[in-house]
Amino acid sequence: MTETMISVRGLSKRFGDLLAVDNLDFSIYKGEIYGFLGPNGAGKSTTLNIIATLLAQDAGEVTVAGYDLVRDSRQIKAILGLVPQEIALFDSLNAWENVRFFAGLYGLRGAELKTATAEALEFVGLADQAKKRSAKMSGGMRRRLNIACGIAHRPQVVILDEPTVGVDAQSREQIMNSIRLLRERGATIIYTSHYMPEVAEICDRIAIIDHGRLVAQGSEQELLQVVTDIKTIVVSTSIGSAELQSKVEERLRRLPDVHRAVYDPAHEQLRMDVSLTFSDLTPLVAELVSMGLILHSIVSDAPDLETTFLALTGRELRQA
Amino acid sequence: MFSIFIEQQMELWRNKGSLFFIVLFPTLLVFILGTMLSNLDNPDETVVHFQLGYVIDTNDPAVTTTAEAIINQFVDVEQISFTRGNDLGAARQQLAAEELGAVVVFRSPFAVEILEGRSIAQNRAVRAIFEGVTRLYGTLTVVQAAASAPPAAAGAGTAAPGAAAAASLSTAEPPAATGAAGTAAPAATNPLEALAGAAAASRVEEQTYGVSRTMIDYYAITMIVMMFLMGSATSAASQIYQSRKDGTLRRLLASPISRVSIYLQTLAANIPVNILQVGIVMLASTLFLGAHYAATWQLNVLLFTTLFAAGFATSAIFLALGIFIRFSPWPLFMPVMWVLLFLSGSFSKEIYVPGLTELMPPRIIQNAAFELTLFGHTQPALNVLLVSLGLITLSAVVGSALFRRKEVAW
Repeated sequence: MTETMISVRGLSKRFGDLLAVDNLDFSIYKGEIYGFLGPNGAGKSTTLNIIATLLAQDAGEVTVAGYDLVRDSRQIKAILGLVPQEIALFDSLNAWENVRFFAGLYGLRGAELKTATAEALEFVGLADQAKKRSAKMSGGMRRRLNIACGIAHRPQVVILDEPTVGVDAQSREQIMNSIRLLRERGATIIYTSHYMPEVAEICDRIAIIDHGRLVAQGSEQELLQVVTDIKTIVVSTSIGSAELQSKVEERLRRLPDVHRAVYDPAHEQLRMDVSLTFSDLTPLVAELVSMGLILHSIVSDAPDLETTFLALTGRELRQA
Repeated sequence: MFSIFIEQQMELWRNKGSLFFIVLFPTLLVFILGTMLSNLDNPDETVVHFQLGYVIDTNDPAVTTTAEAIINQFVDVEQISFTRGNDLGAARQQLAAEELGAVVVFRSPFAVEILEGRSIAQNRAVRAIFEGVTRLYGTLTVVQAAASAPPAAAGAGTAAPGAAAAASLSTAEPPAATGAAGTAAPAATNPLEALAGAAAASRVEEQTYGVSRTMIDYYAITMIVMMFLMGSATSAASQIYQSRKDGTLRRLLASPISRVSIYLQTLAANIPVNILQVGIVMLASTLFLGAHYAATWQLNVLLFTTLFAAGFATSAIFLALGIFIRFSPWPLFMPVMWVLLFLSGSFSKEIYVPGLTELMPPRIIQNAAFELTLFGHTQPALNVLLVSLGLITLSAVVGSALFRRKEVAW
C-alpha cells in the first residue's frame, strides 16, 4: 500500500481575503481509505473540490494516478467517482435510471452500462428497488442510491463526502460495508465525516486540517499519540433530565482544565477530556458533588479520536 | 452524447409541475381567455342594411370624380346603399329623422366629413371605411350630427359650421406615405387617383382575412409572446440554479463530459418546450375556438417558426443569465418581464409610450406576427426570425464560454 494514488504539494486556494487552503501537502496511497477531518470552514470541501476538478487551485501541484490536475483533468475525471454530501439525484427518475444516467456520462454504453448499473444497485443493496423513483425512497435508500450513482463506472478514486449523514443504523452499516467492499476491489477512497467513531473504524489513515493547513496525519493510533497532555476521565453517575445534563456539561466546560464534557445517558457516564493527572482531580470532583451528583466510580480511559480532534482544532464553534 | 438532453426530457415529462406549465396551462389559458374574448365578438346590435347619404359639397371636378369612384366601389355591396343628395340641409334632416344612418360630405381640397347618426355600429362602420380612404390623402372629420342637428336645417350648402366644429370628435390627419401596414403608396401622378386606388387596394388586401377575424386571433399571438417571456425565460434562467441547488450540477461537472456540451445540451432541452408552448396555443385556439392565423399553410409555418425562434432565443438569453444567479430567478425575472410586456402594450393597446413601446421586443415580435397574419407581409417576420437565430447563436456561444470559464464553488 505504498504506491501513491493522489499527491498534493503546496496546494493553496484563496477566495477574496479568505485563504481557504494554505500550502497543503499530503499523499494518499493506492487502495487505502483516507479520512479527511476538519471543523466547518477548515478547507476540506475546497480541497476535495480541487481534487474533483471542480475548482482550480491558485498554487501547488496535484496529481491523481500520475495525471496532472491542470493538464489532464479529463483523464482524472474519468477515473474519479464523486459522492457528494447532498443527495444529488433526479427525483423523477427511478433508481435504475439515475444510476444508468450517471454511469453513462463516463462513456459506458449498451451491455456494459446495463451490467454496471445492475452491479452498482446490487452493491448498495437496492437491486430490488430498481424501478422505484428516487423521490419515493426513504432517506437511507436515497443515501445508498447516491453512492451507487458515484461508483457505477468503477472509479479508481472515490470521494465520499459525509455519506452517512442522516441515515439510520441499518443503512449506516450497509454503507460502511459497501465502502469496505470498494476498498477490496482496489479503489482508493477519500472519506469525510463529522462522526469520529465511524472515521476511526473505517479509515486506514486520517488527516486533520484546520485553517487550510494540515494539522496532523496518520493512523488512528498515531493520532492518539499526538496529544499526550489530555486524559479522558469517565465518571459513572445518574443525571435525570436532559435540561440538567446540559447545565452540568456547560458548567464543567467552563472549568479551565476541562476540554470536553459529554454525558451519555444510555450508559449513565459523564465523559470528560481534562488536562489533569488522576491525582489532581479533587477540584473537579468537588465541583461535581456541589452540583448534587452522586458519583459511583471515576476511571481513566484512553483518549479517543474526538479528543485528539478537539485538542488540535479547538472547541470554539465554527461557521460553515 | 445526448444523455443530458434525454435525461432532461425524461425529467420534464414525468414532472407534474412541468407538465402543467407546458401543456395544461397554455391549453387552459386558451380556453379561459378564448371564452372571455368570444363575448367581445358578440355584436351590440345587428345591422342588416346601411342606408347612407353623401353630398359632394364642391364644384371641383377632381373631387367629384374621386368621390364617385369611392362610392361606386360599394355598388355591389348589398348591405350598404349610398344615396346622393345635393342639399346638405336636407340630408341633415333625413339624418335627424333616422332616414339615413350617416351622411358623408366630400369637400375641396379633398376632405371627407362624416355626419354620424345614432347607431353606434353604423357610425363605426362608416368611420372605418373612410379612415381607409383618407389614409393616404385628405382629411377625415367626424361629426356627431344626429344629436346636434336642428329639426329644420339651415339653408342649402350651409353645413352649420359652428355646430360641426363644436361637435367634432376626431380628425384623422393622413400619415406618411407608408401606411400603418407598411404598404407603400401606389405611384400616381394625380393624388386623388392614387387615393382611390389605395383605398381599393387596402380593401382587397384585407378582405381575405378581415371579415372573419375574432378577438382570439389577436390575443392568441399575444398569449404566445407572454408565455415565452414569462414562462420560458424564467424557467430557462432557473435550469442551472436548480441543478446547482439539488447537487446534480456538481456530479455533471465532475464527469468527463465537457462543460460546453453540458451547457449546450441544457440549452437544447428547451427546444421541445418552446415548440410545444407555441404549438399548443396555435392548435388549441384553432381547433377549439376557430382562431385564424395566416392565410396559407406556408405563412403559418413561417409564423410558427418565427414565434418558436423568438421563444427559444428568449430561453437562450436567460439560460446564459442564469449562470450568475444564486437564488430562485422567478421573483427577479417575473416582475421585469411583466414591466416589459406592460410597456410593450401586450396587456392593453391603450398603453403606448412614444419612443419606447415600439422598441420593446415583445411589441416587435407581436407586430411582425400581426403583419403576417393580417396582411401576409413576411418581411417583419423574417427579420424577427433572423434576429432570433442570431441571438440564439450569440447566447449559446457566450453562455458556453462563461459556463466553461466561470469558477464556482459548485
